[in-house]
Amino acid sequence: MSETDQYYVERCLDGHPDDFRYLVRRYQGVLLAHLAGKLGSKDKAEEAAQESLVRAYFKMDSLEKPDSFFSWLLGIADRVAKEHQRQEQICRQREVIHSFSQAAPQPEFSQDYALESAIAELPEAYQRVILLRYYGHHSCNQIAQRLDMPLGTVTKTLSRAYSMLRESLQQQHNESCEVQK
Amino acid sequence: MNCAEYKELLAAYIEGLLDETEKRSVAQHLKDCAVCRAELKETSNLCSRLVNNGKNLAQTNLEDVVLERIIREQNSRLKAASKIGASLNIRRTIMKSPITKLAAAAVIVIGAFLAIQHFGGSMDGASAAWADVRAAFLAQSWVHLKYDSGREQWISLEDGKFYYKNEDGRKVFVDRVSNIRLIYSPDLGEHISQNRPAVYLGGVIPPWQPKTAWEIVVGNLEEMTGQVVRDTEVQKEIERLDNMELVRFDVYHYDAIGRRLLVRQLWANPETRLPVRIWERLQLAEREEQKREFVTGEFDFPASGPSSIYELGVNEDLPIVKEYDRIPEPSIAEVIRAGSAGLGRFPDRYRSLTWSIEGYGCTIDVVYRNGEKIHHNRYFSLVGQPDYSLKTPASAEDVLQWTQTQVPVSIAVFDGRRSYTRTNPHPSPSFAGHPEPTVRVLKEKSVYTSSEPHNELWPYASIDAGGSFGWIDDKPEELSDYVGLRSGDRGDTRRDFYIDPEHDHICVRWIWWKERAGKWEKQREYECSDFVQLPQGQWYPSKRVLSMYPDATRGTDGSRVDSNIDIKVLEENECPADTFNGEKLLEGAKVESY
Repeated sequence: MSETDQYYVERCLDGHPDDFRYLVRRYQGVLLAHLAGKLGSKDKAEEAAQESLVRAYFKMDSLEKPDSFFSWLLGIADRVAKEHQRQEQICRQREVIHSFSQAAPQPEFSQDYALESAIAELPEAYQRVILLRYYGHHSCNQIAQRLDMPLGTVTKTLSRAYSMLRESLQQQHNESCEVQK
Repeated sequence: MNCAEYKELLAAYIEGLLDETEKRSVAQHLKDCAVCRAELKETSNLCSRLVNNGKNLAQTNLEDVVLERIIREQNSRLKAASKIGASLNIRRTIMKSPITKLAAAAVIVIGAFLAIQHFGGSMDGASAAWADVRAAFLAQSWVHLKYDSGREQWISLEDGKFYYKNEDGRKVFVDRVSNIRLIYSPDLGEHISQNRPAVYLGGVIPPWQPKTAWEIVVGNLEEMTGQVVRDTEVQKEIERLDNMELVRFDVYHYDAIGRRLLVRQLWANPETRLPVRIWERLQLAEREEQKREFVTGEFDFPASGPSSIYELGVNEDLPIVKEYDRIPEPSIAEVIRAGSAGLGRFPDRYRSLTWSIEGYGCTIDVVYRNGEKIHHNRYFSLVGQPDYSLKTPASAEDVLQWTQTQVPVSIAVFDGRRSYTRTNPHPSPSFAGHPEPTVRVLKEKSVYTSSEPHNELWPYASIDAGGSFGWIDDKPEELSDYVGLRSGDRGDTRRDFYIDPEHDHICVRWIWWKERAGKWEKQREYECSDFVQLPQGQWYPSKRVLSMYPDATRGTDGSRVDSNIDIKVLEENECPADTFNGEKLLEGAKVESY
């Protein structure tokens, strides 16, 4: 489990598909958080995370820099999330047409994943560090290694990410208060 | 410290990654600034929320479900690809999708899966998995293989009895159960020799490798466990051979430097699931001996096989000569253990210099050893060296200085996993085997490092067949102070080891004997003398003489090489820079790897 992403990617490409397991283990938490933030529910996040991982596996030979597996995986997850959102939208529109006499169902808003959706809105550099630290269970040193940046940069990025997250949560909170009023 | 500076350090402060000075100034700032104090509290709350959410999501494990989805997806892609192949008949379906490599590799993983899903189902080639072929194979009683090289073999699937005969007249019977091997070879003379393939010290019989008939014929691929065997990959294709549609499995092997080589192909009948043909790439030694790259064998599965070696055409009157007779006495085992202990006490880091600049063998070996299994060897030859200026007697310093200015004939680096050997063109035209440098890369298991004190001074301690040692009864007068062990593990050769208990049980005389016309004659002999003690107390001989005795049957004269040995114990990191850089050897040279 301590090997680099590159090692496992190359193992998979060299015909040891079972080693994909280690990459799943490493990034499932991160993916779930990222997707829960985008899709607003755990079930949807799980489905999309599976889909993203399977897609990543079959596309692995198009990954140009095996050491950037993590960012690449998040990119795939973003695309999957978009597709799921679009499908959901289409379904919802159909439902609306079917039940035109009834009120359209409210898009569900899940307070549970407010934090994750705030993370999903962060600029990529901040998002990656927060995801790895709390959902990938990396230490700051491990993040420094994984993303190939100095430890000082990792902690500074984290500090700024905290401050952005607090602001964004505060804003969400204010908005929901206004809705309630 | 101002608020902006503090904000940058916030995360490091929470994580406890600040040094004492920084920590103190952050604490001071927090004391002074109420805004930052409030912010720290909020951030701490945020962090615990993040930790909690992270923990909750960590309870979901996607590993199994993702791998299962991959297998399913793989399966349907393979099936689709195979169906196209079946309809195109003679054309091979090479799965040229972006997933080729992965799909191919996954065949092993999904082998068992396919067996459950499709066995007994449709009989198209696509569904015949590697595991099915193996299962059908294992259900037979005997397997008979006839190779185009002339080799023929029979293996019983019930008890592993194994018979083969080669085109050179060699006939062999192996019985795994009683650990007996009978060999008849026209070269060995008019008898059948009986040996035990392996016996460890104390009569322990090691586990057999390969274990099963399937492994003997097809190789050791543990596909049933669902594990991909390291360095091996199986790819499946459909092929029409002799007007019959067959499933072909291609087995690839990754060699020591990661090249993908096709090593074996197995054709199976999709209806019976039994293998019908095998194609194998030969090992290097076999390739050289047989002057061919590969062999093809045809299978059949008779109900019974040979019941003795005589049925292979060996004369029934030939006597069976046992090549082993005794299990080592406890005291012999004691001597071997003492030798191993002497070997174990020898320093792990040293530079050894062996040079012989008299007579025929003018060579210099510089060996560095740096801890366990890390070893670097440079070999220089003085034959035909244009600026050969070393004259006897030369001191170790002279020799070392001289080697600095020469190109070595060969350099070997063993870094614990692989051994790299680079052979340079020999300076003398009469020795020039390779016009350009060649590099060989060997995997750990096949590495043999010679010319190291480790391997040369305790030759008897590294022989694991301890069962073949006996005492030497007829010790000559001048060697009576030494312990004499005799190994007679071959019919007409034997080796004597005279061991010096005073000097770490080093073998001071090592004599190779050969029986010629009923008489034992010396073939060659090593003699160690002039013992020197290392700072830590270990001994080594500073002189070693190799005598070759004349052999009338080969028409060779005798010769004698006197070598000097100089050993210096090194500290850690005292080895020359780049000494253990195997990768460097690979640069710009022709590579052959195993």
